[in-house]
Amino acid sequence: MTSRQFQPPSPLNPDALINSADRAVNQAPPGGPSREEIHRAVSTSYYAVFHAITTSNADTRHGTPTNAASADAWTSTYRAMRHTFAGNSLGQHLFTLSQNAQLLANIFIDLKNARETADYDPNRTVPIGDAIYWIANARAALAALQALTPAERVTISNITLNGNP
Amino acid sequence: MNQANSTLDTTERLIREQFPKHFGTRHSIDQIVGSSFNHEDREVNYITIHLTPGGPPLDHLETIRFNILLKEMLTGYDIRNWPAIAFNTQEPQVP
Repeated sequence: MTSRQFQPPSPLNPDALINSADRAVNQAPPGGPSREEIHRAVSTSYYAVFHAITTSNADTRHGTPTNAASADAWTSTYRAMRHTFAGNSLGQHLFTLSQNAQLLANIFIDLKNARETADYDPNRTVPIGDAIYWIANARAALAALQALTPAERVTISNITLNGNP
Repeated sequence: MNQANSTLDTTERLIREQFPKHFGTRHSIDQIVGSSFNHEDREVNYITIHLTPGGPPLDHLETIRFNILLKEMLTGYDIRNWPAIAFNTQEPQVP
């Protein structure tokens, strides 16, 4: 086996995910987006925020990986966040968080429910206006995440991975 | 509300009470559509607030703050399975 040159982890880009959801909904061919495209856009908006938080968690705990060992540690943390656990934990601490952390947590909780509805409820058709709202929410979540202080990022990391600030 | 359960009913009541206080009279609710289903042993609740078309744009950040306010009020009723609430400014779709 040949050894490859070290490549740092490259998670999915949250902005690109949101842009793809936006294009699917707002730049659809004549006749508008299909139900499937609208539901996927809601789901993609959630995953954009999910990936943004998992990346922030890994960055907060490990910094930028510089070698294989630190990349493994980074990737392990990146993959550690569980959807339901993170949502429940953020909900338990929602009213004690700082303003931007609270915005981020609130949007994550709502987007998670919205994406579960879009992906798994066969009796609900999510209207296009809802998808537009959730896409805007995902952008607001990324802005809130960007505005967090290092200490607030640690809080989000601790809550989403361990359940407590 | 097209599907009855206590979380959706309570949330709809709070929305109708709190919406005018939060957003004033320049915006109004045309229709509220709720749904609920079970996923991985949890009840997932979802609500669309259809706003009356033609009103001024809503401040997006205020809609998020409104959602946080509702969560706080629902928690006071011991309701933690908070619905995701979308603010929809488009014409309701005909099924």
